Amino acid sequence: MKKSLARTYVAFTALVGFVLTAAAPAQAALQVDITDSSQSAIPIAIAPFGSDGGQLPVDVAQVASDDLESTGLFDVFERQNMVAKPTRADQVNYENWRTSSVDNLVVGSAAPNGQGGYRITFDLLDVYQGRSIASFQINAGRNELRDAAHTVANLIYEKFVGEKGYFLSRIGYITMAKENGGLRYRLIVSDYDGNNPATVYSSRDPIMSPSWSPDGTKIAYVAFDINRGRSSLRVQDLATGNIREISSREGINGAPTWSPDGRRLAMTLSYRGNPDIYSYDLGTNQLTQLTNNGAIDTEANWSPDGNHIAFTSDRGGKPQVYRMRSDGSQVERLTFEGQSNQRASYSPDGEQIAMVQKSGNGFRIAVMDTQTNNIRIVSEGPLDDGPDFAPNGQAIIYARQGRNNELATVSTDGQTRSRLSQGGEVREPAWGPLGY
Amino acid sequence: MFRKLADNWRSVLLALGLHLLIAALLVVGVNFVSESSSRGNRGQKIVKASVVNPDSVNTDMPAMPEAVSPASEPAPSEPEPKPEPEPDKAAEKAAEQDAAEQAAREKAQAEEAAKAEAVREKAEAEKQAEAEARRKAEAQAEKKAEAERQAKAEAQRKAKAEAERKAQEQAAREKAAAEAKRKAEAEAKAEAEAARKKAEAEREAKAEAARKAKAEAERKAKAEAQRKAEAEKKAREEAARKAREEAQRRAAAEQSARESAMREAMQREAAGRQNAANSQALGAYVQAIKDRVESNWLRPPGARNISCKVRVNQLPGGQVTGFRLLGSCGSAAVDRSVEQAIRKSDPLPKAPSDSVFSPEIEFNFEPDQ
Repeated sequence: MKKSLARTYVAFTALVGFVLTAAAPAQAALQVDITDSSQSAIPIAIAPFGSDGGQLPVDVAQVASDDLESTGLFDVFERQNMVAKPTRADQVNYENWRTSSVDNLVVGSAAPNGQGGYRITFDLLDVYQGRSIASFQINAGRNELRDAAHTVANLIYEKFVGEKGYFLSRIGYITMAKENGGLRYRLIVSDYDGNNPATVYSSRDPIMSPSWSPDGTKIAYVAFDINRGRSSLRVQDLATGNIREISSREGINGAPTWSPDGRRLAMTLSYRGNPDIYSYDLGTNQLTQLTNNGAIDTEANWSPDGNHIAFTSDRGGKPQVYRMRSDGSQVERLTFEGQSNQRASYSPDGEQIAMVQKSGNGFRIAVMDTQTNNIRIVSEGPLDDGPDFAPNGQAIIYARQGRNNELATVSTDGQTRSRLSQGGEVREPAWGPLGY
Repeated sequence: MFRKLADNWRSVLLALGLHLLIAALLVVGVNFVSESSSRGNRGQKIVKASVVNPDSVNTDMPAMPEAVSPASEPAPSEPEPKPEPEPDKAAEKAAEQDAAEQAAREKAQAEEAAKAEAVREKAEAEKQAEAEARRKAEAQAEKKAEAERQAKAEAQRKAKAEAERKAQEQAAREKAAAEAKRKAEAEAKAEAEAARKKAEAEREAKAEAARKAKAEAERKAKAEAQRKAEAEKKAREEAARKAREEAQRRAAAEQSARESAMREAMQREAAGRQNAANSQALGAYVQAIKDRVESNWLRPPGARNISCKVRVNQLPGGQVTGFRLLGSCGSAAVDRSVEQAIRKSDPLPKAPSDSVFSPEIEFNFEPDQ
């Protein structure tokens, strides 16, 4: 019985197999599983934008190309290698671009918009399909061509990466330069790439810890007054330059950071004797002590959902990163690797924390996964400091010190880096919001 | 000779003792068997032959005088025959009277008939009477002599019988005494024998118990060993049976597989000979397509949980004539990257033969699984 059943089954299977084999070429689609991908950067070329109104004051195509190139995600085809420089889709000989292995081509032009500004139109062409897959139009003021170029880059970036580009964001940082026989400290705000730097505050005394308000309209920072022997924690409106002093208590007034909703500032105060973290309500001016510990607690940073605050404490002996609920409860230590960890900074999605880790290799930027607590090192050291996430979470800016003082960005996987050279010593970069 | 025996009385005693011992052992040995057989075997099927010794049988019986009756018991003496009674005188007188009367009558008659006769008869009668008297006297004397002779013989016989009786009694007495003595001896002997037998029996019982215990232990050990051996044998047989069945099953499966393979081969042949080669060619073809698309796919950085299907139509030369996304891969950027991967791979690798070519390909983008 069993045997005959088995035989029947075999026969049935054979029959089914036969039917499938016979039918496959005629009906069923060939199944191909794609489980891997190329690690290459995205090949793209941005042809010089045409202009109906003479030479453009800003090389829009070049600015956008530099934007994309700086991310490390794009392999931007150099202009000098272009066989042709089309400005409209109908001018493109796709075969030429295919031959050059340029998968993607951007062609566009700018024309006066009749209001003193420009109307910029451009197309994203798929070289292999031989057609435009996206068309865009941007209006820009007379002096906004650079931002328009960044916008072009943002649009392309989002098309390929799936995240908003950060090319319109701004950064704040502190420079220190010798001037007239003395040191001059400046709080600078510039485009993300260091262009258009503007001094927000300048002093012969140290300036520290700039922090962007979530809406990007204000910066909180600490200014010292050596003569008075005091430090001042303040919030400055970038548009008006107005300064609101939050705390100039005795001792430390330091390390301000904004709550995600922009209503509160976390800061470090020592007027009660020991440096502890406080929360300051900007609406009610109410000050709440969050930590009460004999050790130093400082460098608070809010999680994006506002529920937690990461901070640095040496309560365990050496500085390590801890986390507490935003009301100061449930303190837990997060870092155990390296000799010390400090300057925690949450990623925009809250899934990562960037920090400075000290080890035998010096001070390097580390990224911790908040789910697994796994840590990976993303910078080379030996004196890296002040990490802060890009507003789209795809990169981290930090300060490199040593022979060349400079700001650098690194993709969160540590794969690609770029430098934003500045004159003089530069410290404590703070990456502002997307800006659009 | 007696002197020699007397000289070697020790040896004689030893020899006698040895003989006795052998006899005793014989008796014991026989009894040992008969004793055990008499106690049963608790239902065990042990067949035993017991040799029965007549002596032991006798000794089992209640002690008895060896001879129940002496063969030489004097026979009961026969009664002496009584002497025949003498003829009665009265009868004789009556007969004589009868004869006288007869004679008188006859005389009278004769007197009547002839007085002569009477005289002669008278003479005759007288003669007869005289003869008779003489005969009578003679008979009487003879009778008397006979009686005397008989009495004498009787006396002699009686004396002899008495003497014989006396002798016999004496012999009986002697014999009884001997018998009593013998009986006493026999009883003593039986008693000793009984005691010996009792001791023997006790010893035997002990030995028997020990033997039985040993036998029981051996039997148990043997039974256990047998049981074990049987269990092992059974296990071996079971294993062997299973192995056989497994082998059979495997053989059947192999047979079935062979048959199905043959059937498949035949069906393949019926469907077209090159189909067998097609699977290999098909695998290589699919791999070529996969390699090409994967090398051309630039996955958007940071994109996670990508999963989608894409339908692609192609010409026999691999030229893509249609692209259809069956649902989003997760984001517009990934969708674009997937389409570009296909477009960049156009034309797809050419099918090595018409039989493996498919005008429609379904790509499954599953890089995160």
